Amino acid sequence: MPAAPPPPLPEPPRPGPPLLEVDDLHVEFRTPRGTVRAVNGLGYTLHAGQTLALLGESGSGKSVAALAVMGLLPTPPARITRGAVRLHGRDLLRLSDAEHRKVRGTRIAMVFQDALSALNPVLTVGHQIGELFRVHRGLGRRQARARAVELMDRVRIPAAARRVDDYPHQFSGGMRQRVMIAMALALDPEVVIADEPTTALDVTVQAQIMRLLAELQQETGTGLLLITHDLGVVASVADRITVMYAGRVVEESDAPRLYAAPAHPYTRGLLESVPRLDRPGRRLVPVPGSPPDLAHLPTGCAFHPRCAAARARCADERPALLPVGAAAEERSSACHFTDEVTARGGRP
Amino acid sequence: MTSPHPPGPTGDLLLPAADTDAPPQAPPASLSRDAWQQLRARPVVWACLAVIALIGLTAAAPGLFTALFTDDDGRCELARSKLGPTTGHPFGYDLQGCDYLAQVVRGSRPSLLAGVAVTAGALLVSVVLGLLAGFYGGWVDSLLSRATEVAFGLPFVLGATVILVAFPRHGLGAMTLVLVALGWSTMTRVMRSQVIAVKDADYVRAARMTGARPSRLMLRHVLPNAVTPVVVVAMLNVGNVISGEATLDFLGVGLQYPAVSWGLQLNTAQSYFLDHPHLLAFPALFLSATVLSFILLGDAVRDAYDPKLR
Amino acid sequence: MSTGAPDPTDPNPPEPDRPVLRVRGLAKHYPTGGGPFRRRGTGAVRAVDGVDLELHRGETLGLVGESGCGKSTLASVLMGAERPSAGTVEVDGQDLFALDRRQLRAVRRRMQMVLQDPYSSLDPRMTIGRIVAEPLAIHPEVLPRERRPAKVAELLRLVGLDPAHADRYPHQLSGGQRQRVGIARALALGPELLLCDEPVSALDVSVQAQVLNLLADLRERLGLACLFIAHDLAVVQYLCDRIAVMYLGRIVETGTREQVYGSPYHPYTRALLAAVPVPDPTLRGAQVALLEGDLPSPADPPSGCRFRTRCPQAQQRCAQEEPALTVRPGTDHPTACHFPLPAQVPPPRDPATGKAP
Ligand SMILES: Nc1ncnc2c1ncn2[C@@H]1O[C@H](COP(=O)(O)OP(=O)(O)OP(=O)(O)O)[C@@H](O)[C@H]1O
Ligand SMILES: Nc1ncnc2c1ncn2[C@@H]1O[C@H](COP(=O)(O)OP(=O)(O)O)[C@@H](O)[C@H]1O
Ligand code: SF4
Ligand code: SF4
Ligand SMILES: [Mg+2]
Ligand SMILES: [Mg+2]
Repeated sequence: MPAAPPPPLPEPPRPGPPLLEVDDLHVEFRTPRGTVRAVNGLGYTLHAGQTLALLGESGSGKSVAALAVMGLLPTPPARITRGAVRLHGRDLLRLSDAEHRKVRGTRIAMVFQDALSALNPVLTVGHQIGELFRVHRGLGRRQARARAVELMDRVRIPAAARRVDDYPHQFSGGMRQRVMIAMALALDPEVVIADEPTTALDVTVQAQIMRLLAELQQETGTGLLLITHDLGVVASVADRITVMYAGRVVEESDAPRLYAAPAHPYTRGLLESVPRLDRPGRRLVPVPGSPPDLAHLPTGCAFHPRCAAARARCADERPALLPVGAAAEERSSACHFTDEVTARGGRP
Repeated sequence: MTSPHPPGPTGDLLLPAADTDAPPQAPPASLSRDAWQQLRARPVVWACLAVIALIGLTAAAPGLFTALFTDDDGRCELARSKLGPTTGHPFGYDLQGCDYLAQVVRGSRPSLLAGVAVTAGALLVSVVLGLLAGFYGGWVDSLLSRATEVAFGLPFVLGATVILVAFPRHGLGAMTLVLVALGWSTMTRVMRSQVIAVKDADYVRAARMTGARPSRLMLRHVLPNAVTPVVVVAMLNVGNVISGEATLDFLGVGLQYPAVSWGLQLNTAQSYFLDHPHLLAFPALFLSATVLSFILLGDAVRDAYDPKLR
Repeated sequence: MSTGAPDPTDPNPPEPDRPVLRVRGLAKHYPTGGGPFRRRGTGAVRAVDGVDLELHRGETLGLVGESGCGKSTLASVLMGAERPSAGTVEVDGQDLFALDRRQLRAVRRRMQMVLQDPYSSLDPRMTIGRIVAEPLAIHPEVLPRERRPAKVAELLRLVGLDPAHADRYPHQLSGGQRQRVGIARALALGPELLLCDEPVSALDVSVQAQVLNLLADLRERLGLACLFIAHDLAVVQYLCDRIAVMYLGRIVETGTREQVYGSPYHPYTRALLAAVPVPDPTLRGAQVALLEGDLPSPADPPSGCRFRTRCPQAQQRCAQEEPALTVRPGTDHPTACHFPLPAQVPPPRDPATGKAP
């Protein structure tokens, strides 16, 4: 394929004020078989009205980082050893359990991957949505139920008034995920964290859910943190992308620039792994091997055992997350040879 | 028709990197190994094991304890009937004037034998029946399930009392059979439901689709993956059987004099309890310690094997 | 029963180009509600309801459809794990369900399956070596016992695993490595026909790409015929020569890869294509119409065309008359739609080059 002239990219949108800042977060698990370092200095900033995609393979610490923000980590075995999670500048990690619970209910909400196990099988869906209003807003039963129907309508569940008294198992996977989204949006949170909301679903339902999330985000102006392993899924909704590997950020960028020319070899690998309808006949070039064992992280650049561009230096010295490109682009990458990688359009 | 993508070098297709990468380097973990690690860390487990080992030793070699702790010479003198503990006879004397420690130590054998034999028998029956019922389903299951329900409906002690009263001349062997007959149903139900959960697992489907015969599916795949919870129930059951056996002896329908057992000793003790509390205290102590140890151990094993409790 | 099937009374004529797998009018209905206190036969889940397929030597057929449309049910009937309610399955001209036990075992050596979930498809209490060797143990006539360890090592190498992994247990491997083990097990008996039921759906994209490449390569090297089940048309396109699109127990469109992707006539195929995410944010805003709602219940399928409850093109006739799977005027491959869409939209452009591929 001849090198294409880089298409003109739009200016990165002016972000709103910082809403959620995660700074140098470290989480580890003490297990009988050693210390699992699940998150090793993760940092990102989510602005109001922005959609940030947090990208990484299974086991790269995405869910653990999200649970740390929510204050839902099981401690023990988990321990947050360093870092800060600031909502409007206030460090959530310093809050008491009761205060954190309040923030979690009303200002940050989460959509889990497995909607079936996140819903209580013996309560009706309407009851579970309504409970949020009863507990946090002090509404009565009837009002809460009316609000539940309203919300189910908003997440486009057909015949919401009829289905409000159904039990979770009576819904399809996609409809259950809509219920989860309704519950997340119930109390008008400022931040919604969606942890692989479509990974268990098939493509048709995935497309519906992604579109729903994007539309709701436009309507409400919340900050949306979208966790995924698939660069294809978030292309249509993400404003910014943070790529994680072994609990660390390896690249962050606004979405169009990252897709046009990934700066980190790992990001390129993820991008080339997606089978594409618009490029038939192209061979997939996957990242070889599998993610590292977080109890025994590789030295230097954690990605070096799988990196096609790795050299001797990569095994010894850990690359810092440094800005790449023009300052206005606000991109950064953690690779010793970023310049060479970007110069070749992301190819090593 | 050609391949939908240009052929690439075979070397990179086969991804040698997939095996040079580090698979988990931690020591191999399995549920059993994790469970054992967790069990090992709990003092109560060791305490229970110590009690069970001690009682087991008394059952295996009662003479050893008699020789170590008493001046007993095996003779009984009615003159010493029901005397309290003295030096050389720390548990005192029983109704016949025999050394009570020697008697209590001898009493452990029928209790342990009954507990272990009944449980092993019931385990065997329930694993076989549960496996067949759960695996084959259909009429096999209907038949076995009805039978299990009937057996489940029979009360353990009352049922045993009725049967044993009907056949008065019986020994430990007959009692064991009766208790197995009354005790297999719970474990069978557990086994059956485990088998039903496991038999539709993908790995069983995979073997079935390769052409594996039912015997192979049952023995290689279903049994090993279904049996753990049943074994845990069985461990809990040992304590129940021991107390059940003692209860029957106590009620006078189990073992009969001249056999020696804790239940019989308790039966004798009831008439003299106020004046001679040692007659009650020592067998009761041994019985409770044994039953409690088995039950606590069973509980600990169950917790250790339950991943949800980690 | 669907029309368009070749006459099933045809007594197995000798054919020069006989397909490895031929499925005619296949149906699998699960009776519902037939408990002991209810009247039997109150209804049925029509999981598969009249499917015709053909698979030739060395060919890969992609079977695509939403969750619950009957793909796995079809696969397990094809493997002989369940008896069909109607229809026949022929493997190399032999009717799978007319065989005696011994013949069935022989046929089973020639067709093997890779299951969807790499986490539940391997027995947690067996080592990798024993898992891969199991088909050889079930069919001991294939290879003498002493040569099996070498064969296992060869198979593990073939799927890109270190033979040293043979001593490990499944939970010690990653999802991708487990799926390689599943593939090695399926290849142990040297099958001609491989059924893959969503072998990559449970994997991360990066690992999914590895496994897709592995399957593509193995298929070529071993000359396998392959039925590849998936819900994602982009994945299917990568691997398959021919495509069959399934909706609610029926095939609604089938053709070669070029035909189906180049000119999808059935509204459902269009919708599936529109749902595939394109990893290119510059195409944002070019909003395509997505499929609304859920798959109807297979226990009570809509009258006429089963897709009509979700079809943007549905008309009166669709509710009354069931469309047959045939080549209609103006189309070049079979569709089950009264009003096939014109081959309008140019195929999606490569946004990097701006050129249509
Ligand atoms: N044993 C059964 N009894 C009753 N209904 C069944 C049974 N097995 C499958 N079904 C039903 O048949 C339909 C098709 O199921 P199947 O598993 O084949 O779908 P699928 O296309 O493989 O979906 P997925 O993509 O989720 O794997 C579903 O509605 C399912 O509920
Ligand atoms: N409760 C726990 N105990 C021990 N390790 C855990 C626990 N939860 C998660 N981990 C480990 O933390 C790492 C990151 O997990 P996770 O954040 O769930 O990954 P993902 O990126 O797929 O969401 C994994 O290696 C996982 O095994
Ligand atoms: S630092 Fe080295 S190993 Fe790490 S991504 Fe860059 S080139 Fe690869
Ligand atoms: S037959 Fe009618 S309802 Fe069915 S797909 Fe065609 S247009 Fe739609
Ligand atoms: Mg996760
Ligand atoms: Mg399926």
